[in-house]
Amino acid sequence: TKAQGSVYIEQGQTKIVAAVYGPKEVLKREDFSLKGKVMCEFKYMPFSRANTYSEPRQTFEEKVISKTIAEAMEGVIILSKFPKSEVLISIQMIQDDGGTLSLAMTAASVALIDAKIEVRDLVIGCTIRFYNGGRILVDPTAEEEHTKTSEGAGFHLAVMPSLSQVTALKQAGKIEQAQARECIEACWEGCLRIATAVKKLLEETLGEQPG
Amino acid sequence: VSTQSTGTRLSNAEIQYIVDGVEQDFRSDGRGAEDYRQIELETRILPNTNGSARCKLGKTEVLVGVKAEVVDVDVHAPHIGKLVITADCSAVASPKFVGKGSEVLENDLSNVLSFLYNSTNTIRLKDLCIVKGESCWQLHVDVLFVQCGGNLFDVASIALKAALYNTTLPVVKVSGEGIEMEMEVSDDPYHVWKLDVSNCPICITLYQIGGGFAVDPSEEEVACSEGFVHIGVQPNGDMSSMEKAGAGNIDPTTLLEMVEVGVRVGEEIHKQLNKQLDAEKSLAKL
Repeated sequence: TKAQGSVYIEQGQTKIVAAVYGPKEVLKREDFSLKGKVMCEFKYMPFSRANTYSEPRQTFEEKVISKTIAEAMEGVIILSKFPKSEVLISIQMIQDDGGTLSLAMTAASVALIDAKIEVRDLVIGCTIRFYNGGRILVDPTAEEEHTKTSEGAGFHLAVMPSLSQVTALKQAGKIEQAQARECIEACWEGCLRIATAVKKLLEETLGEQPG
Repeated sequence: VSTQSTGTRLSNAEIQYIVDGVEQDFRSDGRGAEDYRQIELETRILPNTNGSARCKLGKTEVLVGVKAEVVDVDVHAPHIGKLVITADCSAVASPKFVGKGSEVLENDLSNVLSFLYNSTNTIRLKDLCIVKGESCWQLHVDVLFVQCGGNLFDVASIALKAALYNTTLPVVKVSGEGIEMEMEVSDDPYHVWKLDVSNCPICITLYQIGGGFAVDPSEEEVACSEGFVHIGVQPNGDMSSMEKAGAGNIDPTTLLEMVEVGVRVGEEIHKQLNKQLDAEKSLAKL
């Protein structure tokens, strides 16, 4: 592959490929800045979802996800190390079976490490589905995610495990304030468990500890 | 510098001053971290719309217009109506918004506002259905930013709720069935019905500035912030949505504090807003 860093990640039936190109020189003169820029392009493959056909152009939803991931990565990459340059993260969703945003975050972060771009820490994402009545389902499948929003909420959280910081958070559906705390804690735990597995893999393949 | 700022430049000393102020709960204009500036709200100002509102907060001014049209129902959701929220940054607000300059910000705003109304807990789209499987009302909500002075999302959401509150839709009489079905949209300006906005959320955005956080920042404060959280707060204290945005990471304890403050402030604003909207309604009997 021609990318500086790439990763293929599977969580259950959800499959994602992420590639990182950069740091590349920014050609437009007006984009000069002392810090690097992060661009992210997230795309659902046309065959990735069960009931919808994804168009070749980026839809509104995909642009939103791209932006969330770009902003999350901006907080993690040490941008001052490459001024006047940009990093392009390209994420393709090959199969969607739930937990897309979180897995995409994890994929982007591992790809960045594979590309040897300096980051403060890993970013691990975890999704939970919260049901009215207090039941929490960690890492839901697409079927479990698409219950009606009036009956619960979906919660995506991306964290930096060693530094204990939240890089991204998204909640849709109704929850009460007290339940928010439970959701965040459940997500956090999920993230830490995934983190240990990812760190082990990185040690084996790259032979170095991140951060 | 987040995308919201329209180019404020600050010296390091100013940044330090603002950050210290927020951390000590005493900001540059004397407010505490949880205080909003005075909100001005006017409704029913655009006669060609079904509902409208103008909201001004500090230097930010927003116009919201709601227009309704009868459309075919969405194949995937034949029993509900549609709500389309779009944001537009007028070139009047800043020279950066001329042409395509405001596209990123507009997408951001449209997305956050639409996400606020993402669940059926917020607005009953079923009420907008005219004939199940055939026709429904589509509400086009257009948010126009006339002036941008920080805290765009919150102001827009307040104006949105106010506009939806006074949105009137004509009564539709459906007669006949199948091919002979006829829909008669009433011409009578007094034969209308209003949406139930009792669960509509407003967006409270909390910006992380240094080691503390604040609501309703001025433009200068936005330029000093790293990361912010949008919380969609409903009148009863539930959260309809939550999103962290902006470059910058947030500590989990800070996050939980932000949630608590956001909900508290949101409930208070809802109370005040509902009080004013009810008062206005009683002044002008339709």
